[in-house]
Amino acid sequence: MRNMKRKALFAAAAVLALAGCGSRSAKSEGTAAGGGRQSVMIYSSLKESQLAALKEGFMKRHPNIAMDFYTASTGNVMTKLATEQQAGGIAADLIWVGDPTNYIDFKKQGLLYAYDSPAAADIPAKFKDPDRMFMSARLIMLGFVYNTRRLTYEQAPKTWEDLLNPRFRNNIAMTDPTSSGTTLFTVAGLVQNPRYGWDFLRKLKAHGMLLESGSSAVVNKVGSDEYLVSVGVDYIARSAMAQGATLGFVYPERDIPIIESPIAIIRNSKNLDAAKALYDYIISEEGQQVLLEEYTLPINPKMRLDNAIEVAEAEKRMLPVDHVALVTDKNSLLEKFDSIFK
Amino acid sequence: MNAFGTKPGALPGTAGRRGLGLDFGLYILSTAILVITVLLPVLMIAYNTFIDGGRLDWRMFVRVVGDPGNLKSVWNTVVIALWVTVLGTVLGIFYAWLIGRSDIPLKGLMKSLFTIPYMFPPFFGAMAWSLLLAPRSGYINRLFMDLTGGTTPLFNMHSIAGIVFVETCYYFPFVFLQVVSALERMDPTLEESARIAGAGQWYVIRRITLPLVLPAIAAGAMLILISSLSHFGVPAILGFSQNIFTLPTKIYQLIRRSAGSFQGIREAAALSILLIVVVVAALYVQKRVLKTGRYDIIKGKSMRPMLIKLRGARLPILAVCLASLGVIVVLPLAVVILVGFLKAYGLPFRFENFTIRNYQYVLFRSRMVIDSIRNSLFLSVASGVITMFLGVMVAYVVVKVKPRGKGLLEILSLLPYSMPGIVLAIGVILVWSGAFYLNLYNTIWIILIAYIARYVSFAMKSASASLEQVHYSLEEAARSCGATHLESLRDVTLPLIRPGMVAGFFLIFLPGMRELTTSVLLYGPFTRTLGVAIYSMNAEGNTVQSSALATIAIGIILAGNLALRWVTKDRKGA
Repeated sequence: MRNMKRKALFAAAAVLALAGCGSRSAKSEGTAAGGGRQSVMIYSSLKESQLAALKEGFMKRHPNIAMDFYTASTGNVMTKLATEQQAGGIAADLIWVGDPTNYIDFKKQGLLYAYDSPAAADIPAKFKDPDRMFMSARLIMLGFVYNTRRLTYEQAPKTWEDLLNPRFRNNIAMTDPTSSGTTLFTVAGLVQNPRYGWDFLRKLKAHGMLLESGSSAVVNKVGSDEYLVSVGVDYIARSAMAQGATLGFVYPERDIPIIESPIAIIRNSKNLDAAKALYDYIISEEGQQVLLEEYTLPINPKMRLDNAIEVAEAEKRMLPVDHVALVTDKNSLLEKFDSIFK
Repeated sequence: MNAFGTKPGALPGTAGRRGLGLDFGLYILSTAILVITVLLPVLMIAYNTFIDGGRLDWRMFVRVVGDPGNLKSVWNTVVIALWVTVLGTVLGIFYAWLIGRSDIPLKGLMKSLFTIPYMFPPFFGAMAWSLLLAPRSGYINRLFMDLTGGTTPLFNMHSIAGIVFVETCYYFPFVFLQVVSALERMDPTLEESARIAGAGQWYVIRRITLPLVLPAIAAGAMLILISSLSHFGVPAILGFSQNIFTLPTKIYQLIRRSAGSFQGIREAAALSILLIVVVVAALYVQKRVLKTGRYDIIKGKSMRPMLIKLRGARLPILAVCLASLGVIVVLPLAVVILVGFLKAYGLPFRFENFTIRNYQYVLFRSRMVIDSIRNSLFLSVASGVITMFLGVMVAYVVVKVKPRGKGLLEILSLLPYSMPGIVLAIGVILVWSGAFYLNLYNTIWIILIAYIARYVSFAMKSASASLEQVHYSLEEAARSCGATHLESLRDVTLPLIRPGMVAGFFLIFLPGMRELTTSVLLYGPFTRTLGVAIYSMNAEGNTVQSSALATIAIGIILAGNLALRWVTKDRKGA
């Protein structure tokens, strides 16, 4: 009896250890094997479900390329990149995060590979870097999220000033710009704009605006009644609605933050061909269709997303953001933001 | 006792020379491993805090320590830890006394239920209580506001008080378990003689029982204090949106905010030193307190103590116990499991809102989750096996070989016990990301090294307890029959302590499966652990998915605990 028990224990331990080892060897095969089998790694701030859907589609089209992804908030992806750079090598082949200003930095540091993708022929030049170091691969817009069980569309905020409505006092949230690239972009646009400025943010703080650490949290916590309204990302709200959350989403009447989330290839990529293939796939109608099904606004002007604003219409109401100023002022901006909110 | 007239443990005769070589080798090897895994990280933290580019630099440390935000987080850390310690100790003593000394029914059931919080990571509790008592969305608060028609919540879990509450729920078993076992070992005749001499119930408790179990209480309280001071998960989950930071969460913030820049890591190292200072101060206070009350009247043999009759209070007290167990244990687990089945966070618990989609997603579609389960299994098994053998080796050297430098070895192996996990992580980053020609950052190996350093104290304690029970004469008998030193170790000592080693393995495997504090700073693209996966899904707001994954983790942890019980029961039976 004791013997059997001991054997069972050893067997269990062996299985566990093998499970661990197995996963590792399988992985190293994926990256080490040359010739027929290729691999590509993308670091991104997209939701995991979006990347998983892209991976499925991409690997169907390119069965010989193993696609891997690492997903985290823009802030975390940047942390990872900086550490890897210091440690002497970026493990990613492509970067796709929310905040376009990061790419200006990357370009300056000579991190990017210039690639004029043939798949991007249809896409207007304004979405592309003049040197073709990066290009937008999806559009993210921010707006106001509200809970349809609590508020009617008429009661929901329509403008940024509406957020200061006493009804929403102490019942409102946004994402921490330290971790979220899209919110950083929005905050920069607001403080650069004389209509709002830092004064507006101070008013928001006085109004009881709270910070959440994730872009999904601000949306889902409106669904759970924790907040009455929040400043949220459109595709996250749409996918929560599709799952059954009782949410509504309003694009601001004026000054819509539009983030052209760019994609780029890392210059020292060891899998350049595979990286180009993935780049092309993401820009292609097929890849954009995958994104569309994950409720993300495609960059291709021919494609349309239900219940979303027309891109041309949104651009007329766009919140202008000075990218160059954002790049230079980023740290002081975050510090000033923290001094008000934290 | 000893045929050769040497002191016990010294090796007799000529066979000793080879044996001495082996012992010496083991001594050098264990010292080397401990210096690299435990001491080096601490030294690197000190070095990087005070030396910048080869020059002494005090200014950064002074600036970081003087920063009002950081001071505020020191204050929060201390306030939370003191409250948790006081409340947890009171709660632990109360329940321990009820189970050890009163005639309350269902003792066995309650005793095993009380150890449940011990099994789960406190941040599960934080997630659960946030679901229940977040100011507006918490299910209890919503119910309360619906009933009263008002907009004031019953209780805001996202507060210092909330953090104290959750940590207390998870840490009071430290005192409870210590005191229950002290009560069981205590000589009950002392209480009886007081009673015979005419002392009343309260007098006996106050003047006899309490002083006698004081060392056990102090040891348990110390564990709570240290654990709470270095705790990351609960304040990270409950404090963030309210800007409540403690030292560990502040260190985490700094590292994240710095985007990997060296300056950020240096500032985090400076804060780590502050945290170490706070912990050492707490240890010092405990030493002073313990000195005032040392009683050696606890007997080894167990005697049946006289049980105090609760009489009319018996059922009400039982009801209070069961209710508090329900609140501490059942309610949080139930809400996490239920939310894991919801279609979207915030929907009411109604049949049409339930789905198994979240489980399908985390188990089959999410690459990150599958990776994290595999990583945690690999890390817990590997660190369990390696650390257990390391612990046996160190314990053998300390207990049996007793070389001149054993004090250093003992201190090194017990140091991680009081070293906060987040500090260890910073040290490990500083050592293993290229400072010594080896860069393991972003790989699973850096986490493995951190786990080994973190758990070596557990292994060492459990192994030395088993080794102390193996008398010298057994090994000596083997040696005098002609066995070599190696053979006597392999055929006599190791088989005798094997059950202890298996139990020691589980003592590392189980906390390894739920580890968060250290891995949250060390994980890379493919090396998220189970704890990190649950924590980051929850932090990013994917509440239903993280609850589903937490439910799966609860299942794994329960299975592990059942396995542990099965193993240790076998040992007792044999």
